[in-house]
Amino acid sequence: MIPKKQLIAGITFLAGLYYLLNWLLPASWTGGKLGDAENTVGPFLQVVAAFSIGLGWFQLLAIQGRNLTQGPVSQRVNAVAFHLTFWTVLVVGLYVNVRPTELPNTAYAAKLWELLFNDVVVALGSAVFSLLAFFIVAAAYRAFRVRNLEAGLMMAAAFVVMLGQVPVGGWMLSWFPGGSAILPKSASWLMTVIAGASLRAIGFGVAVGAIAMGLRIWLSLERGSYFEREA
Amino acid sequence: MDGVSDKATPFAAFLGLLIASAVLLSIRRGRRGKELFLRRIPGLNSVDEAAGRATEMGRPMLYAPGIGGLGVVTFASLALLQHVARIAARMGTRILVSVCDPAVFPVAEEVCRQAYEIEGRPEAFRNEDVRFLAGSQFPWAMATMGLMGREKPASAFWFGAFAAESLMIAESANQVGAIQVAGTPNLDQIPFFVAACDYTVFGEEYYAASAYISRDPVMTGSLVGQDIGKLVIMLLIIAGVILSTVFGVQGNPLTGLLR
Repeated sequence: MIPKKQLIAGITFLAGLYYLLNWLLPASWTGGKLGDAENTVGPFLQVVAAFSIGLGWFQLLAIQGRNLTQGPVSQRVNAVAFHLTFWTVLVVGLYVNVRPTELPNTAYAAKLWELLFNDVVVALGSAVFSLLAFFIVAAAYRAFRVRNLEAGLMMAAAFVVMLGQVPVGGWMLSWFPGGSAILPKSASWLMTVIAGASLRAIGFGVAVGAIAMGLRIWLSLERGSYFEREA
Repeated sequence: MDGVSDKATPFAAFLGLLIASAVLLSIRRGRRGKELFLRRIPGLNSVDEAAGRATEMGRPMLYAPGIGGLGVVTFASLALLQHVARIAARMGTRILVSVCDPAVFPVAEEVCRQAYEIEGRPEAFRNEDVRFLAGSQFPWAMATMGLMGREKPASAFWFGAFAAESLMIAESANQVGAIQVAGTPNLDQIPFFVAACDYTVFGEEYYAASAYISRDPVMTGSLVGQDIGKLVIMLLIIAGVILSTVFGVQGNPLTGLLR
């Protein structure tokens, strides 16, 4: 019997080797067969993920079920809201999308599905996203407090970039010849040269780190290996 | 993707293999017991401090492995999760794990269970503390913010792939007074974490987390290999700048190699 760790390491190595060879070898060498096999290999992950979704659901239902029966009042309210929305969306979604042919597709069900998804879920997502503006203000207030030289430099750079992006920045220095272009050009220089170069440098680091991490996982050198006791 | 091939150009293949060889050779040196220098990474040194603070305050820790699926980014985060969970088990501190991707959920749960078993306290592990809160970005962010409001964690760890929700969760943790350590390879989210968190790990340091913390010779070797890889890229950049200055961008022999 093959030990569990060796089995996982073997499968991981073979799967990694497939993708590495698929990237390295020109299609002309393999007759395109390696690339075609990706359509078969790829869905394996989707099958595993489908099982995981079931596990996630099960845990959510278990926790919210317990909250409903044993939790304090505040948790019961949350649990009622959860069960109400969960079962409504599930039943309506199944009815509309995977309805057996003998059942009638009433316009009401389709309308309800549209209402639940487009008019509630999407709208709520947009509302949450819009909250970001307030969080940015709060974070910017703390980040831009001038406590040391670095914070001062960041504040000055932010000031130039912000003013360079809006018409009032050009207007402020328009009292002398060519002055209206100073702030927009400075902002552009800061963004493309200073910030751009820094982000590229970090990007290179991320890529090299990903190669090293990928190698450690591929060759099962990562400590802890997720299902194995650490040494 | 437009203009991007999923096949390696000869130069990309050579560079990839060169960096991989540097990493593997450094791992070999580490295995042989060669003393390897490891530079200090302050963000990772703070992980133990943040975990210790939760114990002192008698409040839980919160860990989020990001919103990404099971990939290299999340695996790097899960390796760090095991370290944090082990501290939690050792110190008797509760650790809450907020999961967004359903595929990550069972793996995160198993990682935590293993951590408690390694520390000899399997009975202390509560599987309801590893929670799959929602399968999409903003509902997960709101659920995590709600969780923080209720549980008031003393420390929060954000390690993984994050997007627009990064600032929301980090600011909410700040409002409940949690010390925060964040790490992400997502370039767009780094400024948000830097602004809102106490310590931020980014770039290649993110992938170095498990190796840096374990101090295992093999893992340390891979970090040294990473630095050699960066050195190779730096030399290529300098060569590119010199050649472009002398021959022009079109006449630069390196530009031809990239095609």
